This record gives sequence, structure tokens and C-alpha cells, in this order.
Amino acid sequence: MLAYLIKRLLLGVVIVFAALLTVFCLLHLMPGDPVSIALGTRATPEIQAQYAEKMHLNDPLIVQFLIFAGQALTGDLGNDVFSNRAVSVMVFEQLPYTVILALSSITWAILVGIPLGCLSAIRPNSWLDRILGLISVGTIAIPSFLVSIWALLLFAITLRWLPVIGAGEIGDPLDQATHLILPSFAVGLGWVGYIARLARASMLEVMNENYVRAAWAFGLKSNTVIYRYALKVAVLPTITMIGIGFGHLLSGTVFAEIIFARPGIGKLIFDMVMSRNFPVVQGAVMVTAAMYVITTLVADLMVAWLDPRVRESL
Amino acid sequence: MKNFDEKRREFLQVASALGMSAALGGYSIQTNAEGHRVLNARSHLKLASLDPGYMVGGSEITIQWALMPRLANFTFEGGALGWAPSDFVSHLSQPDGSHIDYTLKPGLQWSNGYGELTSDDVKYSFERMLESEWKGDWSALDHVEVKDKYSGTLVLNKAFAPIWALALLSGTGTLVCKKATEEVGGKYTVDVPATCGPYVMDWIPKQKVTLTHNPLWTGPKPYFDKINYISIDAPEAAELAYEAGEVDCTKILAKTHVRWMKSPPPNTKLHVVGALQYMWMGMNVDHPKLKDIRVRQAIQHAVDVDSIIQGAYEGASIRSHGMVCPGLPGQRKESPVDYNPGKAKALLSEAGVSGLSLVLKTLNVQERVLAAQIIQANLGAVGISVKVIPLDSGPFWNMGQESKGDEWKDLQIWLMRYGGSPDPHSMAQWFVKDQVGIWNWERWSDPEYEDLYIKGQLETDPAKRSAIYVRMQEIMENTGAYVWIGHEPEVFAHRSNLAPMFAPSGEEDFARFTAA
Amino acid sequence: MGTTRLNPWREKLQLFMRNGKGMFGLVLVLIFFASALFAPQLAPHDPFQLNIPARNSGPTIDYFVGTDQLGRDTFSRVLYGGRVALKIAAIGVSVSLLIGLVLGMIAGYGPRWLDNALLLFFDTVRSFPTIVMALAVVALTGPSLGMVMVIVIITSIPGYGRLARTSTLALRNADFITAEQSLGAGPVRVLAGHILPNVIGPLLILAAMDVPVVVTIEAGLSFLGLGVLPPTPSWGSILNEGYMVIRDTPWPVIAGGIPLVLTTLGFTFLGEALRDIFDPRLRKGY
Repeated sequence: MLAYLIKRLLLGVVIVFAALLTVFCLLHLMPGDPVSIALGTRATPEIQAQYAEKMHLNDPLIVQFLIFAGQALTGDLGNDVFSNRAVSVMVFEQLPYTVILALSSITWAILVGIPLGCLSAIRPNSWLDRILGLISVGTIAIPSFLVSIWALLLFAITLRWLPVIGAGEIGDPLDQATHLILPSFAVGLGWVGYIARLARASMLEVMNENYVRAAWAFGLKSNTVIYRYALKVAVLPTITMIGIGFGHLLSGTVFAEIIFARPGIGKLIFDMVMSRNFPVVQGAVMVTAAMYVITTLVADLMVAWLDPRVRESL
Repeated sequence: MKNFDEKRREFLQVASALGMSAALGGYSIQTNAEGHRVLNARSHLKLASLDPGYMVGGSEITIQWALMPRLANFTFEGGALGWAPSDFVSHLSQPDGSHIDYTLKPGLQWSNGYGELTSDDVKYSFERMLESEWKGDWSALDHVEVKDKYSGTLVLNKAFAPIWALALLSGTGTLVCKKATEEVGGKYTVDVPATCGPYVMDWIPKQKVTLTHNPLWTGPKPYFDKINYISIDAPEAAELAYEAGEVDCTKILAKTHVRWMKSPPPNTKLHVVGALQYMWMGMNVDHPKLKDIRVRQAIQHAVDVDSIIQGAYEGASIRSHGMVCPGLPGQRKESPVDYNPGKAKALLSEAGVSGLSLVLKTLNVQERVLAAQIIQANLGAVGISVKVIPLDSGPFWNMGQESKGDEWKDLQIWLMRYGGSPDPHSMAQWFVKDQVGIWNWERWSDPEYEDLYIKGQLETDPAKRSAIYVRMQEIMENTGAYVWIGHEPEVFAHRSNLAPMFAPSGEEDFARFTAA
Repeated sequence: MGTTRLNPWREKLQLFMRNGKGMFGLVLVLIFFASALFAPQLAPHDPFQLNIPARNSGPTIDYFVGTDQLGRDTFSRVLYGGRVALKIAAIGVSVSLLIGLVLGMIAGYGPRWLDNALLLFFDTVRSFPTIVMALAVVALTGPSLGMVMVIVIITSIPGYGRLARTSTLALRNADFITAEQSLGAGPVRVLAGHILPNVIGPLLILAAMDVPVVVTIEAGLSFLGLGVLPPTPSWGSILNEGYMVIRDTPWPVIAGGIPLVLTTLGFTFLGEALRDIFDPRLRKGY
């Protein structure tokens, strides 16, 4: 188990390293002077000189990269072009909002998706199953940014039930919760479909297993069987899929943050891209890659912990 | 730390208050649970700097006015801009064209223990402007003479009427604390080293700035106890927020203005602040494709400006024939250049040009992108194919500047809008020969223009001054490098029971906001 | 008595035709192709033609779903927008499929270190959320359809790569391959001649399910203003323009969104029906 953990961590480090390399290459492969490309054109000569020196632009490329990587890994992600604030500060200010949005989206998707999937599995090919099947596909088919726009139009503008923009007052959880409703609905909707289908498929698989049929034969009630055995197994592929699909989830949050004017990493990256503030973009992308690595690791570890088969094989 | 029940009660109270006002029709400014008067206003600019010499402007000026001292306040009597001494001075006068005397009130304290506001601060603040990014506004200042601890004189290098509108009344008239600013190296960004004004600020980056009463302030207390200056980029989102009651005051788009004039949200007043923006399409006279003046003139005749005003601005922009804005001396009311595609085609064939293709660059803002597409269609109709490239503000504002790379060489045609102060000099200053490669991206110059530019600053007779600026705009149009489009008014929407105070350039003076 | 064995393809085709969802999907897909290919013939108006006085109108006889902010016919623009979607889908999917196929086969067939290196590459690329990567690239290059294409291709490659690799690995030790190798066939011949035909099937099915993803990415990026340049219509840019006039007229947002939903549904149903019939193994896992 320990060996597995170490191996995964190393893999994670390599992935982040590769991400750093990609970002570095992007910058240097572009035609033109890297300093003006990175800092854009509003930077004063002082900032440009500072940046050039910090990036050791006169040293050979390999040295440059190693220094760049080293700085990044110790948390120094550079400074914002306009206000000279540390990029790491800016990124970590916005991070909690995105994490909360992602978590609440996936939570409601799980809370709705798994029961839906189970219901379908219990009565396969019934009209209920077919309808739920259509709903699942339907929700996957609508792009999340479209859901965000239509939800905004319907609930915030036309019906005025929910707030339109922002994340709510700090220190006021109720206000923040109301501001979360529409965005997490929009982001999570597509996932409901995926999760329902996954749950259904693994439930069906499990319910045909011998040990489950044995439990039934022994007279254990249906519900007990379902909840104690089948559900546990259905959870596993869901977790794996969330880990893999984390990138997709983040894309969804980016759109939701832009359309609902919420603070967050996605909105930060978008705004900084629009103002050509590349150091911040670079730092945020790095943090995103690290987040992905951590998420997949956690997902895999949870699967390993929950599934005795996997644990054994480690 | 409130417990949940208290919070629930509060929520219900607010909800029912909102519900009631929604039932009565519309929201209104509120008193919050602690009995404080709260204003929620929207800011559209991200804070980059609160240093008057290095700021971007807009919301940054609004915040500086709330936090920092200045010598004069703007006034509006019958639509004309004037000035009055501020709450920071006991005396302010202009004995002659090139001297301005001031006497500060004693006992005004800077924050963070930096002592009193004195004449030294005034001298430091204004003289440092001469080397700052905004030195154009202060170009008439020679030096500040300090008489004693609280009084002194601004000495100008010539009689310069626009000094008020350009400098003292605008964002660049803010005073900074000499000791504190020198301690941080002579300039600062968002962290103001010392403030002295009716409000102090608290900032959540990218979200909002909260203004509350300054405990050290001894002057008149402003009406609002707390102001949430909320940062909302997208204008549509800001309008939605207004309609949903989340902000009480916001700038609105031209098309929203038109829509709300017909059917406004309940309890709302629209306030047209001023039209100090001037928009045009410029052409680079040095570019090989545009060197022939006939080509430029053809383009001037090919663009249907009226359809741009209708299509991109919903008729809410004022058609312009020059850069001097409405209400100012020298506004040009008409021009001989008309929309005439036939003439355009004739000029093109006279120049022997066919199959011309150009690149039109614009700021990536919806109205301008729409205008660009209209121009694209107009020019297409006379045989010029146009590619539209929307740019974001970073690269856009550097396109024509020689100091920022080589892009200015290839700049062809573009949509541009500058904002000015309430004086025609502030518009004319950007087009002199010295500005070629800085802000004169069309890269032309004319000796008569240079001559008139100087005359315009000295002339005191309003009629003669007006004629000077009209002629200057004629010269500009004759270079063929300008298609004048319009002056977009700044319009604010706010609750009916709010009595706001806006500068003609569109910044809020929060200290002077009250209830109606 | 002997029975004639039905041609296996015929059997599958019959299965397909009985699959309601699959047929429905096929119909939608065909509509998509037809409307995009024949847009110039089908569009009642020139999608670039301005008509300022008639802007922001609702549906009329002349303009089926109304006009946009500059008076252009939304219906015609939607039809032409389909061409952008088609172009991205066709080029994007085929290029990424080819590259993914080749890389995957190399990973599966080649030496262990190469396999690990390629896997690492696949995982890294997949770890970036597409939008974030697109934004980062646009920060440097500015918006363009070409960039969107490149991003779409790069982010799709790992999907095909992994699938090709898995199939290749499964076949690598099969008898007929070993036989070929002992006859002296070089790796290229083995790969191209024998492994490829067996591996390509699942990839094509993945391609069908990938098209909606690709089209959605383009729409998303154009919605943010990072894709097509004005005045080119794409479903994403129509949605973007519609979002800005959402209070004046909801029609562009509806008209731009529906083809996106229908195309996604169509390809998804089609892909799933194909998968269920031709390769149920693909069902497990993700």
C-alpha cells in the first residue's frame, strides 16, 4: 500500500512537472520577445527589467527552466503585472470559491444521480428506466454553459427567485448558499446523467453476482441487499470517474463563474487572459494541474480503501 | 457572532422589506439592521492603482475622492461646470490667470500617524505630477510656492483657463501625503500609505471596496455610513444586479438606456451625466495602403455613421463631427463629409486602387464590435474587404504606441474612443505633432494645427476660442484620417430616493451622495 | 438440416434498425450533415447581410426565428454556424483519431519505456481542463478558429490513444500476430496490416461519441469570444451575441442552443447504439 502511494505521488509530481514544462514551452515558442508576451504591453520598463532578471533570460534555456520550476515548486509564482501583488496570494484567495462550487455541484449530482441509477437498476427496462435513461442522456447533451445561461434567464431574470451575481456576503452562510444554488445546479446537471448511468450499470452488474443472489436466496430483504452490498460497489466507479472527470468539472465551473459573475479560479484565469496578465495565468494553471493530481490521487486512494479487491492487489 | 435564529430573523426582515418594496414596485436604498445607511453601488473597473499620478481612472478616481483631500469641488449650475472650495480649504481663489491661492484648514490629520495635512503635501503632490503618467493634465504648472504651513500659491507658466477642469477638479487633483508616499518609494498602487478624508476603505480584491466613516475626520459627515462599491465587470450583469436590487446605482449601456427610457424598472431614475467621450475611426496615414489621401477620403465617404449610431448604439449616442464634446466651446456641429458610396467608389478608381483589403482593430466591447461589423459591410459595398480583429484592453491600448513594440507600423484602421475633461484643450492635446507615436496614432501633423493649439490655450474670448477649435477639427478631417462617429453619454440608473453627485466624466462623488 | 448462416453484418444492421434511440440519433445526425452541407441552398438570406431597421425582431414570415442585433437573419446564421461545427468536427475528430491511433498502437506494441512515456503524455494532457488550456493559449496568441482546432485536437488525442493502446495490448500476444512475426514481418507491417484493422472499430465508435464533445468545446470557446472572429457565425458566437441581448429578445439564445442540443443528442444516441451492437465490451468502465 505504501509503495503504491509513493508511486502515485511520484507520478503526480511528474505530471505537475510536465504541466510546468508545457507552460514554459508555450511562452518561449511564441514568436516575439518573451517578456512583452508574458507581461503584455502595459508593463513599465522597470517591471520588464525585473521580470527579465528574475527569469534569467540571458541564461541557457535549461537553466531558465530549472530555475522557473524551482521557484514554482517553492510557492513563488511571480507577481501580477499591474498591481505587483504575489500571484500565489491572488490564486489562493480565489481558490476556495471554485472548490466550494465544484464540491456542491458534484454533491447534488451524486445525491440525485445515485438514487436515480439505483431505481433504474431495480426495474430494468421498465418505463421508469426508459424515462430516466432519456433524462440522463438529455442532461448530458446540454452543454453546461447553456444550462447556466438558460437557468439565469429563467430563475434569476424572469422569476426573480434567486440572486443574479456574485457569491454573497462573506461571513453570511445563508446568503452564500443562495448564491450557490443556480451555479451548482448548472454545473452539476450534466453529472447527474453520468452518475445515474454509472450507478445503474454497476448495480446491474452487482445484482447478478453470486453473492448477492445468495443473499436473496437466504431471504434477506431486497432493500437490505441493495443498500448493504450493491450500493457500496456502485460508489466505486463513480469516485474513479469523478477523479478522471475533474478537468471537465473545472471547465464547467469556469463557465458558471463567468456567467454568474462569481469569484473563483476560472473567472480569475479568464479575466487575466483578457488583460494579458500572463504571470497570473501561468500560476493559476499550475495550481489547477496540482489540484487535478491531488484529486485523482484522493479518488484512487478512496477506491483502494473501499474496494477490498483493489486493496488486495496492491 | 450572531446565532442562527437572529440571522434568520434578519433574513426574514430583509426579505419582507424587499418583498414589500417589490410589491410596491421596486427597491429603494435601505437602512440595515444596525441602523446604518448603506449604499450599494457598482464599480466597473478593476482596481490597479490609487496613486493619482499612475492610475487608470474611472472607479479609482471615485475611491480617491472618498479617501483623499483635494482643493476644489466641481459644481453644476445650470448645466455649466464650475468650481467651489472643498471641505479641506478655508480659502481658494484665482487672483489672476496664472496664480491660484489656497489656504488649508488646520487640524486635518493623515491616517497612520503621519500628522497634519500641510502646504508641503500640496507642493509635493502637484509637483510630482509633472513627472508622472498624467503630466499632460498639469503641463501648465510651473511650481507651487509655499507661504506658510497651511497656505501657498500655485504658479502657472502661462494663463491657462483649463487648469481647473483638467487638473484641480479631476482625478489628478488629489493630494497625497508627502512623508508617507516618500517612505514607500515615491509611488504606490492599491495600498494607500496615508489617507485623509471622510471615508476609509476596506478591500476584497476583485469583489468590492467597502467605504466606512473615517474616525479621524473632523469635517462634515457624509450621509451614507457604509458604501459597498461592488465590482461587476459585465454591464449586463450589472444591470441585472440593479434590477434584482443588489446594487442601487450603476452605469448602464446605451441600449439599456433606450429600453429603460420607455419602460424603466420601478422606483428608478435615469441620470445622463455628460457626453465627454468622443469616438472615431482612425486611419494610419503612414501605412502604404492608406498613404494616398484619396483612399482615405473614399473610406470617409463609404461609412454610414447613422447606421452605426442606430445599430450599435440604439440611437443613444450623439453623432459627432469632431472631437470636442457637446456643451463645450468649439463643438463642431456639421461637416461636409457625407455618406456617399458612389463618391467613395469614384475616389478609389481615381486612385487606381482595387481589391483593397484592410484590417480593422477595435476594443472587444460589444457596441464597438457591432460598429466594426457595420463598417465592414459598408466598406465591402465599395469593394474594400475588411477583417475585424477585436482586442482586449491590454494589447489594444498599445497598438499605436512606438514605445511598445512594432505593432504601430502595421496599424491600418481602428475604432477609438478617448474621454476628456470639460475643456476642448483636453481633447485637442492628443493630436499635436509631439504625440505622434504616443497618442496620435494617425501619425499626421500640420503647422496650422500646432499654431492654433497654442492660441486656444491663451484666448479668453469664448467666441474666438470656439472658432479656433472648430478650425482645428476641420484640419483633422481634411487629412482624411478621421471618420467621426459619436459621443457616448454616460448614463447612470439609480433608485429614486437617492440623490447622487456625478462628475461630468462619470465618476461618483460618494461624499456628496444623499437621500432625495 | 443445415441452416444458412446469416451474414453477421446483416444481423447487426437489423439490430441497429430496431434500436429506436439509434435510429433517432441517425436521423438527427443526417439532418445536421444535410443542413450544414446545403446551408447555402437552404438559407433564406445571406447570413452576413445587415438590416439595421429590422434588428432584434422576433420570428416573422421573412425571418423564421427573428434577427440579431444587426438585423441579420438568425435562421440563416444558425445554418451556416452548422458548417463551422461540421468543419471542426470533421477535421478535429479525424486528425486526433489518426494521431491517437498511431500513438496508441506504438504505446501498445513498442517497448515498455515508450509505453510509459506515452501514457504520461496522455495523462498530462487529460489533466488540463480544456477551457483553462484554451484560455492560456489564447492569452498568448489571440482568438482564432485555428487555435480552437489545435486545442480540440490535442485534448482529444489521449482518448483515442488509450483506447488504441488497450486494444493493441490485447492483440499483441495473439497467435496470428506471433505467427506473422515469426515469418519475419517487421513492426510497421504488423501494425498497419494486422493490428490496425482490428483496433479501428472501437475508435470509430468513440469518434461518433466524441463529435458532440468537440462541437461543444468550439461553441464554448466561441461563446467566450475566443473562437471565430466576427462576423463569422458559429453556434457559440450566436449564443454569445444572444446572451448580450437576452433582455431584448430571447430568440437568438434559444435558436443558437437548440441545434447544439440536437446535434449532441443525435451523435450520442448514434454512438451508443453502435457501441451496444458492435462492441458491448466498451460499455464497462469509462
